Amino acid sequence: MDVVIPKGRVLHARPAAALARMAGEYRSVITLQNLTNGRGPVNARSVVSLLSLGATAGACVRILADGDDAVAATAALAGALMQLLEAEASA
Amino acid sequence: MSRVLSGRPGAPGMRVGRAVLHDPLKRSLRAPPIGDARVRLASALQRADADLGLLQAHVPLSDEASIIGFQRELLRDPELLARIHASIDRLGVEAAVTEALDHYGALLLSLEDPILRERAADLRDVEQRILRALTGDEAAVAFDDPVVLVARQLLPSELAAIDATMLAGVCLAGAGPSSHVVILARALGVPVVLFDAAALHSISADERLLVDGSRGIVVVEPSASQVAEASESEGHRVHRDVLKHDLRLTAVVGSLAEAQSAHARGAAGIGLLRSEFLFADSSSTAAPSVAEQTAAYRAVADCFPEQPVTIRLFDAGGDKPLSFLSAGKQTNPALGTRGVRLLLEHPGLMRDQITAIAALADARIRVLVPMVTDIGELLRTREIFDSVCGGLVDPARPKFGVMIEVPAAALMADVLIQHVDFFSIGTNDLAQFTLAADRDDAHYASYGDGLHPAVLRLIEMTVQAAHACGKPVSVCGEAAGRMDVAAALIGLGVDELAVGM
Repeated sequence: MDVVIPKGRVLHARPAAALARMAGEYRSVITLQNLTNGRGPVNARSVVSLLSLGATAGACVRILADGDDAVAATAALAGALMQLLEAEASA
Repeated sequence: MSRVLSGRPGAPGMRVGRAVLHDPLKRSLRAPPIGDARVRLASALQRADADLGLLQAHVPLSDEASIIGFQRELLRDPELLARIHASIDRLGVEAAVTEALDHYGALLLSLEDPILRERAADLRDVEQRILRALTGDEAAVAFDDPVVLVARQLLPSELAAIDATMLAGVCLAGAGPSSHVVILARALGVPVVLFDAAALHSISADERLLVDGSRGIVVVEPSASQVAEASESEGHRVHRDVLKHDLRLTAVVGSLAEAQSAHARGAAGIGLLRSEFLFADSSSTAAPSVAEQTAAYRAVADCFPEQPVTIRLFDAGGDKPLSFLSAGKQTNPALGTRGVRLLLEHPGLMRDQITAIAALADARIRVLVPMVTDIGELLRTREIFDSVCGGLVDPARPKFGVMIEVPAAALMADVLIQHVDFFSIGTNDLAQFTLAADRDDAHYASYGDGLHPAVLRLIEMTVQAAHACGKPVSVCGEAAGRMDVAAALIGLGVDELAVGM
């Protein structure tokens, strides 16, 4: 599933930490890749790897999961990513 | 055949143990790293996480809390940990930690976004946290049987690194009853007997020693009946009598843990928080931020929700430098730039600390200025205090007081009292300066046993000056913890005794 980082937002420390914690709740191996700059794919459970994607505004981030709960994991992470970035803007 | 060595009392208590000779040059206490590298790493990560958890609980600002949350997430980052584990056998724990965090730090620094690049500093912070936790682990020295440490020189940090449950006592040269290492031993409940260096030569390694810190003697190879007597006395350790007097018995503390323990032991507040101890293990040359300080003070103050909490401003000097507040080398540190003198050279730092304390907005909090000598220092400090706290009114305004530990201040107490809310007398330094006796010099330390009549007179003058204005006086220092001296202090009208608990 692909998510485009909205204008004015960055996948930085706070959302990355929340995302990594969430990824840890699924059995699937989940990866994120920044299709725009070519960084990744990286382990979604690793907060430092998520930061290293350099996912800034306009970047297209691909979320992939492999495992028995892959569909749920992908949907949940994509949804959470959008929500977290939204929350950042209002914070 | 048993023989008796006569020394001087250092810290009370009577216990038996095997002699271990401590030679600072050979670093006999420097234990090799304990356990497997991976076990050490795991426990260091756990400790670092616990420290951060504690910090997080006391940080009100959501921004800072979320950065701490991010750092805690780093401690369990699977990629980061995998990288550390991959090189741990080749590099050792410390270097492996540094290598992994360097690697990811460099990765973040290669990004274009400035906010993401800034997070490299958090990686550095986490690295330092893990390394500190590892060092603490390494310094722990464990013994399998009770030992008596025989030392010509012993640093407080060396004593603190030893598991106190297996430390039956210390035979020490080159120290007096109010040396920091002896004060620490007393706090840990470890008996200490003080000797001249030459007397320690007659003790050999692995001899059995009975240490009687109350009488100041050591029995080498004690008889069975002597050992039995010691273990019986160990059964009812020294306990402080509750004083039937309108007197407040408060605690001298240097950490949150000590504050919690003092509360558990029934202290009626904190008579002296050595605020510099809260940040003493900071390797940073930058002072702790106002928010960090407020969080640390709030945590300590919360241990005593309804009782007075006295926070002494950073008390550093030539002999006890702080990484962020150092007076540099001086020919005579005890008489040099220390206490309020050093603070006045760094007014911004003092203002920050008072601001951090004022943020608690609580009249129970008392700000205490260390080592004041004359009215000029007092007024300059008061000006800073007023400029920070001027907007606060009761019950949110903290109290302001000064330490009386220089004879000049005691002699001028009637003048100084006009500008403060309370006095706190520090007997260790007051005795040292009044008697011209180095508190670390065993030859002259006996002046400081109990209190010399000259010191008692200064205390009396101070109490009378304060009471004439209806203001309270507390006494802190080793002497206040001794029953005989405490009785004298109560007789002089002291309102509060602050003791190590």
